[in-house]
Amino acid sequence: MTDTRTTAPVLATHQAHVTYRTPGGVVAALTDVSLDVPATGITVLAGPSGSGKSTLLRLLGLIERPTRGSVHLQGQPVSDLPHRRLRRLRRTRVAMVFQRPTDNLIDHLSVGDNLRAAAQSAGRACVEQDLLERLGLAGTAAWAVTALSGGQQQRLAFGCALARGPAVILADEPTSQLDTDSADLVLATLRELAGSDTPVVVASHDDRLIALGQTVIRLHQGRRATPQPATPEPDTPGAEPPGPDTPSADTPEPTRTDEDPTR
Amino acid sequence: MQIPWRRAYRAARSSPLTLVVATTTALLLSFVVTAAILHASAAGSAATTYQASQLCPHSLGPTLEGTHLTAAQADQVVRLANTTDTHGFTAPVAAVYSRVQRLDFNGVTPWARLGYRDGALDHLTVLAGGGRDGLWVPRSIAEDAGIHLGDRGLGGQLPPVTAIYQDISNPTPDWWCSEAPRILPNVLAGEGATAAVIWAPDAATFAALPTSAIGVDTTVTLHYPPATAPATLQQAQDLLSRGGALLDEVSARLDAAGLRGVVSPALYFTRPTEVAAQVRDSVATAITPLAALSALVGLAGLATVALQWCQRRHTELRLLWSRGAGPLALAGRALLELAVPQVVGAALGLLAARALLGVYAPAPLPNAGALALAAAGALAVALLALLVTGVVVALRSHRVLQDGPRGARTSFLRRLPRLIPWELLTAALAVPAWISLTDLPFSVSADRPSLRVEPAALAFPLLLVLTVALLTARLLRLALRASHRAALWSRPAAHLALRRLAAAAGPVAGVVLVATLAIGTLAAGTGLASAQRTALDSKSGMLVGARSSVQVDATWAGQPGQQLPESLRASSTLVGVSKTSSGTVLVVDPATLTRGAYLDGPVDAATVTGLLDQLTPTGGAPIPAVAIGAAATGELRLAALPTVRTIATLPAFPRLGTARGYLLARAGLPDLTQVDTWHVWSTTDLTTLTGALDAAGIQHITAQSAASALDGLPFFTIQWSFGFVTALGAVLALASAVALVLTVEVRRRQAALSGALASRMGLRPAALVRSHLLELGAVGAAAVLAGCLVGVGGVTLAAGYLDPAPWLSPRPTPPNLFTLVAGTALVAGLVVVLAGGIAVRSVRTAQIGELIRD
Repeated sequence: MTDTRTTAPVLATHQAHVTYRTPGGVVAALTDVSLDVPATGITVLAGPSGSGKSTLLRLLGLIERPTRGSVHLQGQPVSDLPHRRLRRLRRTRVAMVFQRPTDNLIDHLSVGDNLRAAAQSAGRACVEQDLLERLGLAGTAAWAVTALSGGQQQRLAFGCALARGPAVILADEPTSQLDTDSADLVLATLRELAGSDTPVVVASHDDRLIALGQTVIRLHQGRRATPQPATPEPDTPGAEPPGPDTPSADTPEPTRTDEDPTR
Repeated sequence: MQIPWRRAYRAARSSPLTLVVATTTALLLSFVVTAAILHASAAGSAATTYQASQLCPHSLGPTLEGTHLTAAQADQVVRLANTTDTHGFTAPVAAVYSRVQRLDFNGVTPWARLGYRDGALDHLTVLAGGGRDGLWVPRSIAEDAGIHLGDRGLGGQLPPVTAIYQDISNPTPDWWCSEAPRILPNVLAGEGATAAVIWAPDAATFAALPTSAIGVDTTVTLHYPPATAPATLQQAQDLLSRGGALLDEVSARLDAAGLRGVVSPALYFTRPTEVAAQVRDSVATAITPLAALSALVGLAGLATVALQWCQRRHTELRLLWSRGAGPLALAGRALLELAVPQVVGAALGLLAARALLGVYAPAPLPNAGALALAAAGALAVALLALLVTGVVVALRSHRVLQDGPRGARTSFLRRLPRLIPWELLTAALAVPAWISLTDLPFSVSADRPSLRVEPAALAFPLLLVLTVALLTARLLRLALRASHRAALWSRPAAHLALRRLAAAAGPVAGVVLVATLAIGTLAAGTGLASAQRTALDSKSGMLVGARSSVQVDATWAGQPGQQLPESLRASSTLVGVSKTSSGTVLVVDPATLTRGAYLDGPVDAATVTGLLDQLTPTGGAPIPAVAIGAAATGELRLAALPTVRTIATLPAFPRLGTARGYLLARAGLPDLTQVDTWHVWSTTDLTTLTGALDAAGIQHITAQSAASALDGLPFFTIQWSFGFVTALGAVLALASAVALVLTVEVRRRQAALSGALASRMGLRPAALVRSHLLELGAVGAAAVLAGCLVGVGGVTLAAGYLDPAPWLSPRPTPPNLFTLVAGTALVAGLVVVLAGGIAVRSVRTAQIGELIRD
């Protein structure tokens, strides 16, 4: 029997087009973007600022609808679903990690309560001690989230996402607001996730994070970037350099998922 | 319930400012609504109290009166009416009187009336004797007829005289008030028409008097006084209900005894209660539009609080929404945080409205029903606050989160309020209100017991204030929109102030709108209420001629050189009144007129004093006179009086008003007996005046007091209506001051950021302070200027037309509002300095982290 989670894309867009009205007129944020997000590993949406990464991530996270085109979640078209059904899908299938660590946590709840609240929102129970140990945050359950550093907060945000047991986790530039050390903590978490069953989609222009992506989708001015012509290496005839929609050269080996997440 | 909702109280604790604002907004809204209800009820209570004060205390309860009864019938009526079940009234006070007749005492036959009243002897002042086993004779009869203690009238058939008492005079003490028509003789009436009463000590003695003395023509009165006078409309209506039941019961008993129709049951307080209810309704109708408008402002405040909450909690709302929470669930999250302060605020508003009732309302006691209604109002406010909060948060969540950024295009419905020219609408409404005010501000109809103030007429000043407030806000917005054209960099403080104002044009216009409305309504309310108060005083004084007045015996007053009793000379004057075809002639004593006459009204006292000096004739006819009103001038003859020559004309004068008349000096008349009637005008109260005259043995009638000369309720209706307008103005002023401070506090970080930046660019601290004071001062100045102008203007336009007694001079005039305007400017200045201080402090105390936060 074939495991559909590994064969069929968890998320896909077909000719997705998004426009915004601005005081200066209608602006196209995404133009005819089609892509498939594999059901495992990390998919990175890469591109410079303003290239449409966050808009595409919001489409995939069912937060926004395309102006035209379609979005599919686990093979099911979702872009025309009513609000109520979209909310149900967001509740159970999708977990979003926002750019700023504090945007992902409820500041008047403790660390443990944040995890429990996240799990509750998807109708799940949560053993927060296990999760916290896995995130390298053991012993902080009773802490106020403001007592955590930025990196710890963002790792807790991924913990919240995991606690919800979603079909896919989407993260919008999770390291952009962090210093290098804190970003390392988040990268470690992502490395761990890369080896788990839960696919992760990350929008980023952080090279270290892009390097983690098993699939990298490059965007430029709202469109999929055209693949650059490759120059084959002399010792590897026919090989192509990393380009759009190709597995990254430094895709982590499965063994790397066993690394200590607190490293 | 999920954790974020269950722990919402923790979020509430984390932002006390939100709690304070939510509580205060609900408090003010609840206060407005509940105070309107309680104020209208208190107006009914005040009207009831006023009406009760106009009636004799014994006449407030049920009354039975009958004339031409036999003594036996009178005795039977008194016995049957003496019921044990008095329906909450005190024991009846019965009185029986014989007709006025001549009674022979030692051959002298004075006119007298024999009578008996329960407890009468306890309420008489004994001059001689005092035994309770014989007749009590008034001093006037005793002196006229030479009656002494122990004398027996009708050849010994009457019991002996055991006391001589002080005659009861006008104004009668409360206990005697209801019997005044039967016990106060009219000294100027023909013989036998009226007479003082010779009291029998008890019913048995009276019943035992010979038939020839009490005859077959007796009068009986029975009063069931209430234990206390009604203080609220509800108490009055309850009194009437109980009184009706009592009268039905007694009437049935009398009918059964064959006495149907011999006495008439009456509830004299029925009509006054209807009038009081009408006053309450008029006040309620008059204050409802402004209360509704203020409630709308309050609801807008609640909506703003909800929007601010959405901004403050945006991160959490987005997180919960991304986890599948819908707009309704997010509205629930808002309610779990804001419901408690809003409900507490609504309750506090009710408590404040009740506790401060004596301050802003005309009476401290509302109906019990009104209290329940006010509580329901507070509950409605609480529910409305929750509804508004929920709806606003749900809609905002739907628009911002669910519709997403592409829904940001402002919908037509959202833009509609800004497209409507509200000031034109209110101005259009002000036109019919003005027509109503100038044409027919008062109405009388058959189904209404008294003068009714047209609510449309009362609405004019408020619509004017509202129009100007809206116009001011509109002009300010337009000016701020165009302010980018102004380059004031040579005055950095002014330029910064202008840019800050322009950056917050919406909130600034809102604050100016509410503040202008507040100051305008304060000025209009205070001015119009004060104008009515003054008008009632002036008109009453003009009608009576003085604070108190009595007509005195002409034979006494007409004697040349007649002097008032010593105790009255410093406060009273003698004035003769004659009616002629040319007008009413007032014969005055120039030396004493200003001591007693009412000269605080439209008549300038200094002018009158100057003219009085010229009134005293220096030779023979013609004698000098002052023409009043439209009276003919020149040399003319006034009926039987000497020829007069007018030396001046006054537009109005006490007693005459603006009617035609003349003022002559007493010394100019050779024959004072030609004057029709003589009066004593006094600046003392009526009781002091009549007491002094009684003590001097001077007979008097027709006592008048300025305090009760006019029906004050139409004046009070307007005064009380605008009293509430003043209270609402105060609430709005408080709301606008809080809004100004909050606007500053909400913009704290922006102000700190721009201030810090400007300071690093070389802006001096003094210039920073000046810029904030200029910014906030401009807001305050615009509101004070527009508010005071429209308030004072509204009072000036409306005061003269809101005249419940236009037939009597003077018309209500706008009071001097300088103190109010100066006070308002001072308070506004203080608020500006306070808000400016907060703004400057936020710049100086800003943390680096706060400034660099994105």
